[in-house]
Amino acid sequence: MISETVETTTIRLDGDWSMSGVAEKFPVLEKCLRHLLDSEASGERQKSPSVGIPEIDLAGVTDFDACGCQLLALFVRSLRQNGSSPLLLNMSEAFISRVHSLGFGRELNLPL
Amino acid sequence: MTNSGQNNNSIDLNQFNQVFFEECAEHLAGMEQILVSLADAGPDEEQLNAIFRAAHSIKGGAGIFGFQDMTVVTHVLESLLDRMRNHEIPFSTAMVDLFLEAGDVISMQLAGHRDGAEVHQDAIDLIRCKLQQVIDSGAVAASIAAVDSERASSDEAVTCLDSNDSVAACYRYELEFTPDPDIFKRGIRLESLFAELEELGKLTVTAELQSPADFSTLDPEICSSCWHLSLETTASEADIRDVFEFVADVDQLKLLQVANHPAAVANVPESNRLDLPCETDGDAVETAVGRRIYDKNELAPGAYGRRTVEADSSIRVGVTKVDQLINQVGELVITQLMLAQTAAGLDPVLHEGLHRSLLQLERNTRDLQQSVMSIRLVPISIVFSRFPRMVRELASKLGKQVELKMVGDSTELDKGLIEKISDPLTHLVRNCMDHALEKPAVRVAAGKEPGGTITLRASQTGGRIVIDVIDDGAGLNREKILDKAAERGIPACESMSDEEVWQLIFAPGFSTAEAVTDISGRGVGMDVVLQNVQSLSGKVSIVSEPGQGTRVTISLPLTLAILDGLSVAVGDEKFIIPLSSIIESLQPSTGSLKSVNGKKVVHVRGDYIPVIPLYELFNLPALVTEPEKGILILIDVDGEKAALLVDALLDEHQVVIKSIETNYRKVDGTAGATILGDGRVALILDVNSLLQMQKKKLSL
Repeated sequence: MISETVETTTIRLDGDWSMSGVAEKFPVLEKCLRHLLDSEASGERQKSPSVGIPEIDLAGVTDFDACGCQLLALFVRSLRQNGSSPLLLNMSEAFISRVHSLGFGRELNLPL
Repeated sequence: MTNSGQNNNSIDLNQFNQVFFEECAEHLAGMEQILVSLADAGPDEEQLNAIFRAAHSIKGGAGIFGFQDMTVVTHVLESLLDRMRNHEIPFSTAMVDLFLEAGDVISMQLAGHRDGAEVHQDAIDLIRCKLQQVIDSGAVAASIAAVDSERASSDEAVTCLDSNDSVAACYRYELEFTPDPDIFKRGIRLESLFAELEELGKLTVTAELQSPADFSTLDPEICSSCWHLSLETTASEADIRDVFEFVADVDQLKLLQVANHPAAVANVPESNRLDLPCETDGDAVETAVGRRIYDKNELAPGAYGRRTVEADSSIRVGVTKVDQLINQVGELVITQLMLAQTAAGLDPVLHEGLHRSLLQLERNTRDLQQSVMSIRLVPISIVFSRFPRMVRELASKLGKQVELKMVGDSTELDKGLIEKISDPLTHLVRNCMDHALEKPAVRVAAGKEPGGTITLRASQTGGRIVIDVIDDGAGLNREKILDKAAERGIPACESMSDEEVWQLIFAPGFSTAEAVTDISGRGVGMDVVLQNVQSLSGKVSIVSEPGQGTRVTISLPLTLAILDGLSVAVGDEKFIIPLSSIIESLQPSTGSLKSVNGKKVVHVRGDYIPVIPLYELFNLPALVTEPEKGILILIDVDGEKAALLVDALLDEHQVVIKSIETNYRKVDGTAGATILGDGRVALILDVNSLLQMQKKKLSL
């Protein structure tokens, strides 16, 4: 789920991000957040700001609704609140459109 | 015609569909009742709200049950009503006809789904166009005329202007939607909700997250966001509220309506313009809207179209189930009677406890039976409610001024009777309209008010329901009826009493109407009225005064399932005589018995009443053949009296009526049978039929 290089930390999200799947996904996000915060606390990233920029790879997401969107937005906000500015990657047009239609475009900083 | 509701696979939706059909019919009837009652002044706020609620409920129900075609007309109707509620479009009397027409079309669609009746798409398109054009132009008469003339000039399908082509006021609505935290768990998909809103116009959505203090404490299935939506649309508030129906409660949706396009607003007639401050004023009007906001006065007393608290707490049960319950209670009553009869032979001292318990059982059984019977009773307003519109339309067609008065429409009678009495009543009212009531000029010449009155009056008298159809028209013409009877070879003579002459109009094919119209005059009607009423164990009587009017009275039993009766013995047989027919019973003295033309009569308080020995009528070996040794039961049938000779009076019962014909055949002089406490079958006498049998016998 999480892979790290010198420069980035990639969080790969996949599967069902709808109401029926979020309960399963939440522990994963929580684990990722804790991992990132632990890295922060250890001072690893402070040594080099470019190290460990979180990237959220959404290529594997198969289903996505307002519930999943809210969870993702809250996750992203939590990262921001802890000083990380995650990048969202591999978003399909349908995904982007869905996020906008649900009003989370600004929160997730998506292109219009 | 779509009917996805019926095609759903896993759940049998038919029972739910039935509920929708019934509710839809009720809403339509309620809507029609209000519309017909409207005067030129137009509906008040409550009436308008009630009509709106009816249209809205039909549309909502149709949508839920998958009858999408039924939402088409209701949607446009609802939009128009909403604009009227907002004083954007003024009421005009032509709207009553328009709304009634819309109601007819919805009824047609309902019948299509419910009964498989034919649905005319043309009619749907036409009314939709008429309604839409009123919405667009705000001027009903011109719009209807335009559509009608367009329709008249061409048989082609009516096409309607797309809403984009019309110049309607465009508003921006600012919505703040704070859903229930459980909205996701309820399976509501907000993306569908917003997509539906987007269909109404240009939509911008912004979610506002409420972050938890700690991400780890988050419940991912709980909705912690609220949404700010901006919608530019020509749709009404009702349209927007509709989208949120079943999703948002009143306090979960706030709506700000802002006039957004001044140019478009300027094109709306001054009188129809919604007087709202512009956005530039910075004073947007906040309207607390959301689900059921239009029902905010739902519990206010005395308003139209509103269900009472009692109705709200009611449940719908199939008639079959109720009938089954009634039958079972009937069997219980019989069993109780059997027990009582068996216990009657036991020593009351030794078995005191048993006797006390049996008395308690008898009371409880009777209470239970009455309660169960009351389930089948429904108000006669169900039938009466059809007449205001019928009278209105016929009056217009016939060029007459008619006021319809309905009295006692809360009188209850058996549902089975209600269904069967509606046709006879319809015949009677149509006859009043066509024949009895005169045209205004004729009435004025006769010194009457130009407008006539028809009164429908229902009441409960004893164990019977009495329905009067009264008019203040010309009254029945005795000479004309006698002439017509002679012409048709119906036995009649000048010496007949008025009452007897009026009965002639019940002869098949009898009509004194000079012209056969599509309303009445073919002579088909009064005989059907009589037949139908008699088939319900009812009676019809007529009182008429020349120049003053006519009163037709229908008398019906309260219910067809049970009967209060007196059991009597004739030889070894037992009979039940309906208590409602009995005047009194007596043991005659020898001096009171006379013989007139060889027929035995009894002299009671100045009246000579013919004696009918039951043993003779039913060919039974009798113990008592002399009236002075037996009991005479005086009965009254439509004012005609007779004395039934029986051996003895036995007991008074509330008996459960069982049909003999179902398993045997019709027995003359009887109305059915019942099972007595000793398990024996007793015939229930039909006193009317007994009189006829006796007359027939004497005439031979």
